[in-house]
Amino acid sequence: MENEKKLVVVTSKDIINDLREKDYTLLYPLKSFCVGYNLEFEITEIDDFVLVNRILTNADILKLNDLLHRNNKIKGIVFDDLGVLEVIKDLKVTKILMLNHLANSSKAINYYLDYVDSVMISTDLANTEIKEILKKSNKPLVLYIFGPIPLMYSRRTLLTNYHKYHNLENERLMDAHIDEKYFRIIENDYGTYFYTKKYFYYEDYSNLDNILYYYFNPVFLDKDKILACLEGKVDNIDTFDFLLKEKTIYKLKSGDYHG
Amino acid sequence: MVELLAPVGKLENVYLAFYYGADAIYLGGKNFSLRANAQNFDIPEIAEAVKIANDFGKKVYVAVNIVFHDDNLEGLEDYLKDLARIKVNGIIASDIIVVKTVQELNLDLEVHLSTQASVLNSYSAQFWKNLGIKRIVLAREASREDIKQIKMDTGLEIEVFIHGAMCTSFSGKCVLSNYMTNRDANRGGCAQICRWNYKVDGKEDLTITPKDLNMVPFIQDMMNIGINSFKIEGRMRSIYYIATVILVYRRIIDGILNHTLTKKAQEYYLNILNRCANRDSTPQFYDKLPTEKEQYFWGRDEVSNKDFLGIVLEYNKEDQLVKIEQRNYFKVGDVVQFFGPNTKTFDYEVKEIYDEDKNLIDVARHPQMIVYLKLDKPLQKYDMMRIKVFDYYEE
Repeated sequence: MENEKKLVVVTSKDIINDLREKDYTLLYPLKSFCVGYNLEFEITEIDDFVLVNRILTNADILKLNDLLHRNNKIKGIVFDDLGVLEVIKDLKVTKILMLNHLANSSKAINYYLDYVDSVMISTDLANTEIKEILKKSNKPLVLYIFGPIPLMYSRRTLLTNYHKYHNLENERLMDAHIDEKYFRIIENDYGTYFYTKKYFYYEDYSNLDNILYYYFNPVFLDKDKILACLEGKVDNIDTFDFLLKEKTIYKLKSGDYHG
Repeated sequence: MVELLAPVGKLENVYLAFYYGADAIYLGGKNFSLRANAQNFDIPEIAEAVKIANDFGKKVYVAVNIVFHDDNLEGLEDYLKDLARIKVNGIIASDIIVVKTVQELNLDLEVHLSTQASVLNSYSAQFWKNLGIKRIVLAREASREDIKQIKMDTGLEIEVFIHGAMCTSFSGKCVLSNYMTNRDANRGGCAQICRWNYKVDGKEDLTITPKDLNMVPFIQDMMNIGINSFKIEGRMRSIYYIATVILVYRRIIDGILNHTLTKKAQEYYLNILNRCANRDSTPQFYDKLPTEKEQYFWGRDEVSNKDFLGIVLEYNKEDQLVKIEQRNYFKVGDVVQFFGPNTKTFDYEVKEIYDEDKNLIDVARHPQMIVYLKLDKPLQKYDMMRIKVFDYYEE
């Protein structure tokens, strides 16, 4: 499989040259426009795809507009807030909408595809649902192949608040758990992100059709593990398949509506 | 004029919500709505709610706000056609599928965008406006400046939450329930994992529970910046909670419009609201980023009180007896208060209680038992009786 179809979030500066040498497509979290990352990049440092995963205010969008139009090396943008669409209309870049948890059906995704080049399929779907979406999608899609699952995004600075309340020295990255379910929590000034501590891995991704990019999010991993996971070597990483084998519970079965 | 929008979880509460001063209600159908644990409404019940609303000259909005998976789509078109046929005043949607389906079927249905879509800027609002959205329920994270800007730039109707529970997360951006319980939060299965304790090695438990929202101090300002609808959260809350919250905000809004709202009244209303909920409430994102003061740090902290003593079923002028359905224990000697939308709150010492057969008893101890009290002040059906905690304010 061509490495350029692997869209890799850059989570370590040490690894950029290695990733470039192997022709991976790089996705850089843009400074002040992301949550959930411990490394972000100035717009001037970005020469491939740019990640904007925050919910934005008007002031943010205006600032983003200015930044994006200052850098003509950007090849694509992955974004969550629909307001971004307006300011990237004129940019000749690949536009990928990442409405995580809200792009859960082929029908919704096809509607959004009228406005963008591709959509990232939500990370909380079962394998059968993913395959159905890929089959029915009007354009090739982006699929989250590897990385911790994003579970929750709060605008609150939950870790700062916690440490302040308990008079503890602040830490903006922390692990926590409820029984056997483990979380990795990371915060910046724009909010707090809860991830699973385990890394999701979609093992059989090479058999899928209608994919524009395979999304790799190796956040918090060291260089060796990042390079290994990109080559499908995940033995030394604690991985799981999240909800791939089991659909989430919805109280209704289809066809239950009788007026 | 600003709309006061109240939640209703079952048909019995529709009349009550309007009677206590709501201008509009929102409810969920048995299908396609979040709050799966609420009793919710089938189509004939929604039609009945619309009829009651029409009698009051008020409105009904229906939440069709799940995020659809491919296998949930069956029945959606018929459901939307039914809602249009029975002439609900609008639907609340978060999934683009619902917005587009209404358009494609050319239905006479006003669509409001749910807070689940997390709109915080006018560019995003404009995207939805271009798809035919008439009103946006903004993200609860919206600040005063965000709200003002979106209103000014788009001219859309703006609805904001003013009271009730807060999500820790941006609404729609949380799948903690999916991870912990396999229940889909965006299809009505939220298990409120944000209210659990998280273990941290070597440290205190992490808790992330927000206090409830309470916008009493900013109602006037919010009216000034042109917000169209003030929304109260809580389709699964009790009738006492709903009636009390509606009545308090009704009086505040009317007091502002009539220039009669005093500081003392505002303080009184805040006391009443804080007492009737089971959590503290405070403004959250409107004027600042919430800090540790807007959160709880000791886990599940809900405190249930038994303030709600009964609901008035009828008053007989001849024998001056008020018929009450009991909701919590009370006895002879208790000092209580009666209140209602057309009844000035007053204190009352319980001197005699009669059972359903008019026998004297000392205690009303059974939930929903019928009792009579002797009272020389007339009361109206659906007035309520509560424990006296605060001196009443002369409304």
